[in-house]
Amino acid sequence: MEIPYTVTARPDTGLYNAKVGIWLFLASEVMLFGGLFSSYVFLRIGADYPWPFHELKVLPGFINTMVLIISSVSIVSAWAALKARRYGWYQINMVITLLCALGFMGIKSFEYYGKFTHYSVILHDGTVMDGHPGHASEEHRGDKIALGEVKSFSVNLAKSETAFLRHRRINDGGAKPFGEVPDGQTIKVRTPSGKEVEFTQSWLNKQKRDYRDLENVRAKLATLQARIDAPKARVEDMKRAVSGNFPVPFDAAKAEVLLAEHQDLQASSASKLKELEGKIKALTAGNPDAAASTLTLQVAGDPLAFRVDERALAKYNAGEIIFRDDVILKGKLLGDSIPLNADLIDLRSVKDPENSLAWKYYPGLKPAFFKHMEEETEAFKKKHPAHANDYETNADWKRSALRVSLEELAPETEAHALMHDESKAVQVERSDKRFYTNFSPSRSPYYAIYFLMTGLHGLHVVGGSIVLGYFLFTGRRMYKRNPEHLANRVEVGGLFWHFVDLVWIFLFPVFYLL
Amino acid sequence: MDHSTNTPVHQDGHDSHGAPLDLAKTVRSYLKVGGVLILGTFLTVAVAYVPWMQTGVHWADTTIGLLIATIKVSFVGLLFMHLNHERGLIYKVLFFTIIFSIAMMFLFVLAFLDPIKAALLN
Amino acid sequence: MDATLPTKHADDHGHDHGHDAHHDDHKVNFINKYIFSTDHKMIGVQYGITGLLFLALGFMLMLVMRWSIAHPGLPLPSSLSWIVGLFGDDFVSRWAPNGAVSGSLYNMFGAMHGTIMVFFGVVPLGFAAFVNFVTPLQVGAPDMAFPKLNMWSFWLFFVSGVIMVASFFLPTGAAQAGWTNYSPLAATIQMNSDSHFWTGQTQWLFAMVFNISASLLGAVNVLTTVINLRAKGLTWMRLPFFTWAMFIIAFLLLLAFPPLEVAALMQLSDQVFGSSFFLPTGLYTKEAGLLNVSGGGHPVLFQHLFWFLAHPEVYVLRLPAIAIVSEVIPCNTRKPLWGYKSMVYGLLTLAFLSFIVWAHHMYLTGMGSVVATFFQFTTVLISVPSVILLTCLMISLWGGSIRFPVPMLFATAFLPMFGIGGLTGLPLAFTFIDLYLHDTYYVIAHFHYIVAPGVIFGLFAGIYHWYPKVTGRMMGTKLGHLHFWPSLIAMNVLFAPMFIQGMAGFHRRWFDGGKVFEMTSHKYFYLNEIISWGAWGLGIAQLPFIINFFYSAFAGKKVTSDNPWNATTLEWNTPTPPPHGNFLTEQVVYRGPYEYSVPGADKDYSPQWEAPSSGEKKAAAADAAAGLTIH
Repeated sequence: MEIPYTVTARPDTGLYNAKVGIWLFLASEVMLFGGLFSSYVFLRIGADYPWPFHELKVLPGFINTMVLIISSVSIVSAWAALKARRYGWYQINMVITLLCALGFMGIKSFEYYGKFTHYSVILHDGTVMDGHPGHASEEHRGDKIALGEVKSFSVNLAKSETAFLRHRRINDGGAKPFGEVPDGQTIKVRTPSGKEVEFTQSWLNKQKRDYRDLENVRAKLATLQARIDAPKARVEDMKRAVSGNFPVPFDAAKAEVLLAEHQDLQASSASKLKELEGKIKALTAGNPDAAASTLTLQVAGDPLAFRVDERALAKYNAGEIIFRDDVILKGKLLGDSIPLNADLIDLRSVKDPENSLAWKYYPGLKPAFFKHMEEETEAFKKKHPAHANDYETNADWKRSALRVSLEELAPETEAHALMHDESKAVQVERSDKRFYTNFSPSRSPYYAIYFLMTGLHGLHVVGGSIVLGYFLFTGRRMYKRNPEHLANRVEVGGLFWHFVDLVWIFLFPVFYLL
Repeated sequence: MDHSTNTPVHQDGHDSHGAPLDLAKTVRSYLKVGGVLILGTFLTVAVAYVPWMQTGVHWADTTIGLLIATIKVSFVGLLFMHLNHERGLIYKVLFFTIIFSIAMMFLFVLAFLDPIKAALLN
Repeated sequence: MDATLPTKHADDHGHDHGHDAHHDDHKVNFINKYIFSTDHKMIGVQYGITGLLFLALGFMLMLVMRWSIAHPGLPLPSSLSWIVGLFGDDFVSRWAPNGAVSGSLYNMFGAMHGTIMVFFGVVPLGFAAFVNFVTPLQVGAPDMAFPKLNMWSFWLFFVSGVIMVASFFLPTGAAQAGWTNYSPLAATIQMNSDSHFWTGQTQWLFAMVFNISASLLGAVNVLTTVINLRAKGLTWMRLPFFTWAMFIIAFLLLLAFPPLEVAALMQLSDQVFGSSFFLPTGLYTKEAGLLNVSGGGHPVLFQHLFWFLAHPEVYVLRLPAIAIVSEVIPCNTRKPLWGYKSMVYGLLTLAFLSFIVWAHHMYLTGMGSVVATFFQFTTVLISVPSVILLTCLMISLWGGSIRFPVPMLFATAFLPMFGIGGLTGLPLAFTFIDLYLHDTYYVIAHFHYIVAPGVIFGLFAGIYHWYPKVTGRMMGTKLGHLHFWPSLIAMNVLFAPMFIQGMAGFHRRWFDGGKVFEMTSHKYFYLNEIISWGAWGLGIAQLPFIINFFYSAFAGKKVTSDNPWNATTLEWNTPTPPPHGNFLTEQVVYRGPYEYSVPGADKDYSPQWEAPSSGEKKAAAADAAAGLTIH
């Protein structure tokens, strides 16, 4: 069996199969990126925060545009070379294309890396401070909460796991206060019933199983009880309905029937009730530690220490931290402030810049900030006399006057120290913080869609290069057998590659320039 | 079942038209298109740094930027992807695809810009 | 530079081969034949069986839900509790500790019932299975245009199904935010789990990304096959309507699914990377308090992207049924399909319009009158082509000498059932009525009349109709009747009362059937139980089908000819069951797809592969002379 028209074109449509296929696929890709661009527009017109404008460095994007254009020329030339049956030229052009792809991804990773290591803290009054969390020390990511002297903790047998142990550290109080826990070191705990055991996943699983067995019996008992009580409860409902929002007359005869039914049920279920209660007693006696959902454990050896990413937590306070799976650690909060070497202060979302929380941390920069703001205002009014009175609502003015880099606020050496010297990092109090994040998708929907679209585009580049690489490295055999077939394949791969280029031609201005 | 079994290969390629391809000439034309694209990129960046506020036309950078991008895309589509002489079927498919994606963007925006009026709610 | 140097090897297909000449493909082992098969027919069967299994699973989830609605708080009886038990003891003690259906379990089953039925049951069975098996045969092709992609498409789909089912076993359970998976509920409902990756909500999105990719590959394949592999003489207007419909569905899948992929990826990013595509500023939940996210996103954006797919998806669900019925009806009335051309053009219009009606699912999102009017207008407009399709099928019955084998029973029942579903949808198109009926049982009744007695009946008709071609044996008629009549009754007992409940204001997501509103809605409570009887009855009514399906494969009556229904389209011109490579000779098509009872022909059907006989020519000439030819 052979599929027709894999190499030659069908006379009436004038197309070979793969070409029909790739164009249909590209149509679907148009819808994919159409959906993404539509979402971009929707998110932009609906943004209730200042939309980032010229915040991405243009140069890497610009170079990448050039790189993709060159690769587009080379891939179409590779196809032309095959059509002209010049295999050497084909190879050269394919290599250029693949090098371009490599360069593109290299520049892209460089851009991504810069963003992932750059952080932003948004304070409760809307102040935004961007900067680096002193990434010189690897322990330090700035968003950690440190809890020491943990002498007891509790787990919820319905849902807790041992995943919280990931965050355990050794606190020796030395220069590196939170060292890694040596491999194989386990925790000994004392249970409420006085047993001393090793706290492991398998031990916890056993407790959870016992607890679940007990709960199942309890639930059966509760259901039975509810069934017995249902007629009585119905009578109560009827009584209440007499005086409720929708008064209904009380039906005494029906109530009597229901109460009799209740009595009957009680009598007939007595033995079953007793049996279930006995079962509960036996199970509780078998493992008293698993009788209630909350199991509190005392640490048997040295107190423990933890260093936790806030996102893993449900909440925390001075004496305890609560994980999302209901593990509660009791100890002493050693520190939760966010160290930050800010490089930019943004007060665009602050109602009253004079009293911004930024000045709590950088009081010395306040006069310079307002001086800078006045200068910018003067310049703005001069440039736009039409907006002299309503400049305060103008997005351009806001961007130039309220979003200021530290380089502009302090002399060069001082600014450099503030931005890079870890000892000059400010300790942002967690109670002042509304949101703390690096420049990843979580920063704002703008960055989210930036990463989604450029990331998807990057995946297309990678996928395309794999296919083109395959054509380059395994093409010779097919070329010898049927060069037209290889030319078709390269044409189809090239169409995809051009489409990837075409998407970037829109992505570049949309994210970097507009 | 293959209707074109015995036809020579080069007749099927839409752009060879029976004559062997002149590689140098073709590549030269592709390089020209590449030059136009690079030029367009420079232009886009330049336009984005013009202080449009002063001229009073805020929308100019967006409009001109997207216009240049559209022109660049047409070059890629028409000459690199050979849409300047493609088969009717592909035009039809792309036509509807583009209609639907434009409709999608347009209706998203329309739905956003036309909320229930607050006056009616009060 | 000699362009002609390498010549294509001689292709001498289609000349006088016997059966064995077709075994030019190498000897295939079991795995390549039945599991990683590239044969479109095997892939079709794989899709069909997987789809049927998913339909059964989705149906069983619904039975559990119906119990909770009819008897809130009561433990499941043993005839139903085994369904929950399928997921294991851990699952039972986590979600139904006292044997009764908890609210979370109901939400989970509700979300998964919808998802499984739509994306894993009806589409794989109705579209993927039938298109894979029948369409290449109907266009006279040896296989799909890209057989390997076809295999990949099935296995991607299979993986997505595995992920979806596996998500039940996670500590969080499966997704619980409805099949529409609206954010911010979807983003926050399982936020308390330790890992944001291993949650039902996240795995739902993963499964959908796989499922969508599988659909895209399948759609490209189908379209290319129909465009490029049609047999000689098979012009567009000679395509069977079935293939036309499948062609259009593939387009819908191709162009409508990507926006859902976008939505799924965005929600995935929200779940895993903590972004705020669909989370507004200042979002607050009872469990988490003020959410630790940046905010600034838009919940409504998800709905736009979702419904941009999900409305065309409605047509993806129902067109296969119409396609099948329009094959079965002409075959069993022994007369041509009435209005073939208007049906084709109606189909094209329908497909076009289906892309611009989506926001009628979103009247309650606070859209203003301009947008609402636009979507109301297009929605009412789209009913015109739908009515054209249904009317043509109805008129096709007129004056035929109808025979009623089992597929025809289902096909005839499809027409009124589908009609009820369609006509009750019209009021929902109007904003002011929809504001009241939105999310009530009326909506449930409306679209279930479309997809259950409508689409599922169509699919059953298809299974009975093409079963002899797939297996070489007929399905049993008695069991078929035993399947059809109870199903027809049960379907109506199940869905008709929902209209009443819906108009009385019953909300679709009440897990206790509205018990908390007993004081105001008790008048229609009895319907809860009646509907559930319908559901049990429907379940029992499928048993004859299951028996028939498996029994007939081994012990059914063997077919005596390759064309047991005396039909006219090309799939009946293959050996039975068709070998790898399908046809023994090159297919040439001489005529339209539905030439039954042609005047002057020697039998009452004139297959597409037969050239007009002298008798036909004579009759046509006589007609022309009398001025009767219509062209």
